[in-house]
Amino acid sequence: MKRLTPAKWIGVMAALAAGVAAIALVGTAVGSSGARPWSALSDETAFTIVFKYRLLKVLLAVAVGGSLAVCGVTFQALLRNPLADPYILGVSGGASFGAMVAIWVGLPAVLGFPAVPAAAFAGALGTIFLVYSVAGRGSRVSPHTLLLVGVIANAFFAAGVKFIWSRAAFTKRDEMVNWIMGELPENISLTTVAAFAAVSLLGVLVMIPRAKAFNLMSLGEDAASSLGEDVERTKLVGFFAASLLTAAAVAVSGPIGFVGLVVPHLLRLAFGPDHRLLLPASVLGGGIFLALADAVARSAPGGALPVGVVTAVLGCPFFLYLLKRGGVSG
Amino acid sequence: MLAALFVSAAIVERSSPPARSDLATTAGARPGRLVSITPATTEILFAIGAGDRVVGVTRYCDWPPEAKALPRIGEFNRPDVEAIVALRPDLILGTPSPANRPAVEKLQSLGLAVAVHKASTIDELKSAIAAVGRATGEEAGARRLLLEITRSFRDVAERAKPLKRPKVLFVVSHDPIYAASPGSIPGRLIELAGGRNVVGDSKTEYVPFTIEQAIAAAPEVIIDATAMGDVKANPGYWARWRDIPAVRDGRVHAASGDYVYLPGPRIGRGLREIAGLIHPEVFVRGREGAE
Amino acid sequence: MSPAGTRAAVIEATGVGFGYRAGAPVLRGVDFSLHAGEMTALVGPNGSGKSTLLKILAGLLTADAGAVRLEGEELAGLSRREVARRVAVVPQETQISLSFTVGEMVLMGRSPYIGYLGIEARADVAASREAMERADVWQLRDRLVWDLSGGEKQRAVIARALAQEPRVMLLDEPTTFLDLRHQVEVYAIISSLVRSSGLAVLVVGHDINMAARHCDRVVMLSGGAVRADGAPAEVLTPESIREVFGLPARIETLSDGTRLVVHDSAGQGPPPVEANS
Repeated sequence: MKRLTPAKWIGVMAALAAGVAAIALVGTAVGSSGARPWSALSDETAFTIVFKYRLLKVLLAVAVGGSLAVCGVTFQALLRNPLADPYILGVSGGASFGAMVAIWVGLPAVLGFPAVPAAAFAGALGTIFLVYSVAGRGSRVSPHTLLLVGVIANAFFAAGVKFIWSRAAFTKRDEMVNWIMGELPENISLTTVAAFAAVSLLGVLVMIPRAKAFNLMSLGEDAASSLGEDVERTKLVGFFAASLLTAAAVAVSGPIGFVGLVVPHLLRLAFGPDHRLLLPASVLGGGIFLALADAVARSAPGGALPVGVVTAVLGCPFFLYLLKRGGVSG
Repeated sequence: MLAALFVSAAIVERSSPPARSDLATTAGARPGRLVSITPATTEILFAIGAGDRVVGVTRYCDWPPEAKALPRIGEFNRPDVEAIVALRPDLILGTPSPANRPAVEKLQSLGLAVAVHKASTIDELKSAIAAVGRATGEEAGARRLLLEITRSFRDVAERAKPLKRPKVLFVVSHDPIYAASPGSIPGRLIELAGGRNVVGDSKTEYVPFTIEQAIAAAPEVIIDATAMGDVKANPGYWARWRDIPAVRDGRVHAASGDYVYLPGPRIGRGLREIAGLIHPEVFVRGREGAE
Repeated sequence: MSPAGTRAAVIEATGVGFGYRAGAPVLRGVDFSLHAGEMTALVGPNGSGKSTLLKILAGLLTADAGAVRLEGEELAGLSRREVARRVAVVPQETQISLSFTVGEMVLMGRSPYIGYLGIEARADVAASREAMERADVWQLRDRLVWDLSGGEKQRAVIARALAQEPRVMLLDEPTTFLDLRHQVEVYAIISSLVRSSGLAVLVVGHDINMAARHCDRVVMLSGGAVRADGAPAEVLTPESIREVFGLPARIETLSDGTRLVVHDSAGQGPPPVEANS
């Protein structure tokens, strides 16, 4: 009888871990200058480029990519919707709006936190709160309602962003557009990477043990309940953890698309839908995906591209291919 | 497995110590390798005589022509940190903007010498030129350039003072139209050149403007700087609105280059060009050759 | 009302009342019980509260009034896991949203016995296999659930319910979407389970004749209250059917003794309308 065995779990995770190591190597080997890792040992400039710039970008890409992917899996499981991505409940809209306001008004840094990411995070948090209070009834959260409210929230904030664009000074638009395209920040420090990785780890540790519950959710909420699951609690914890982690990711690197949508499907297609494997695998798989996109973006001929462009270019054809193969839903 | 991954990542991280300053040579009196992250700065460097030491410029740095041959280190607002570091610069120069700040900070954290000077007004531009001169050891060249600019300005301002002031509209984009307000650089140039800006005072340098407002304002001269450097104007854009005096009288002109409204060493030339467009009877406007 | 307690009552509901909205009760003062080794049918018109009662017995909804006892213990006091080890639900329709195989789904039925992280023991795999064999879906174990036909899927869900090793199985309109052959199959499987393992089974449904043929007991529900409760022969009379369903009917007995309820269309005037909330 086909099912997830410990052997399979170990095999897949080991392969993905190797994949992360591989992409880390590739990521530090390519960039917009010709610096190569092997010359880093002899040449100071190359050392700086490889270890103090590229490596940090790769590590952040792995952390952000993994976070977005695991949130994507969570939302797809709880909403029982294969088209869900981490931004679907309004997080990207709120974060974008917050960031635009910060840029427009020229907010200064708050308590040492750079203004724009802080405002983006605040915007995302506010939206999460708003969406859940509108969609939740007491302690019951209806996925259907949540989805609708999230879509509307995103649309509303998108309009808000456009309003700001039309009012903002000509000269600020550059920065605004840059942020919205989504990219791993240039001024990456070890602190940023470590801080985000810590947040990410926290979120991941909350979500991964829910794997069994997510499996049961695929049978329907009543069925899951009748099999002993506390469905409402699973939804609450899952939604909040995933929303907060997504908010953190968007605050750090802007709304990078497709990772959270495509990676879960790719992994499901390859390894099956069992969340006990899918959740941890998505952390690594998402990391590989974004690190790969980042490597491509940084070494694009003609100058570095925003990573959000590359994820879309990589993600869309893949996704269409998946749909054609019929692996997405029954 | 995840733990194994995190541990290996942590080991690699720990092997990358926090920023050391060994990359920065003290930017001495004459730093040998210069990188510019802003087109205006590139122009200044060449204009004061430091052009032979410039090793990297942005994609948009196309003046002077020699700059076009230099290695590219990113966009106007997105300097490429890696490419810059790879050029081993002694000094990195530019004008600060929120968009390039992260890159600037990163370069500084890597121990590189970075000097940014604001240049969004004419006064700031003059200070920037002087500062760049000091930083690169070309004080003499900077003084010469400043003198030239000051002379142009004085010359034009004096000759324009007694003249009648026609209404002028200066436009930097179409769809939407953005017009220069008095606080902007072209706004000031218009004033110095003996014109009257139809746009009122505003907190922002460039304000959104509609055709309707243009008709109501009835400028006698329109200077259209949308075709950034491309000499052919887009006369078709305004041609329909013959109610506007400038259109009716054929006084819609394309600015011949972005130096007309961006701060840079060619600002004197820009002023003379604007003066020529506003008062052709007094200022001869021609395709000026290399300064 | 209920037959003399020759069999132990596994679930007992007393005085159960429930409404989805205040002031609009769907169930009123329902007394109801299920016994081991007995198959009970719960029939009634649409809106009579059948599905609601099933959900209350399953612990999916909490009664506003009255009490439900599971093997003597208060249902409300038991944890969900504990309830899931004793009560299994086979819903009307299963829409699975992921590409799990039948085997994987049945294994999920072992969930109440498996720890938080969800690692199955050999015993769980064995129990699933046995459940699949009894529901006759072992040969489908590696097929994807969403590729199955209605009948196969229903049997697979029954296997999942069996994997829970329950004392009670509640089936909500199990044959509504099935063709005749599959309907017969499903009832056959359930009957044999009831006989062989002493399961207490409740079948909620519309199909009075199927209920009559296979069930030991029929409970008629209408307007949120129990109207009749007893052996099929006693309960299914033309009078009770007219009263509960609002349709004139007569009972025909076939040559092999099977009783059929047939709608009597020989014009007895417009049926009295049963108003339900």
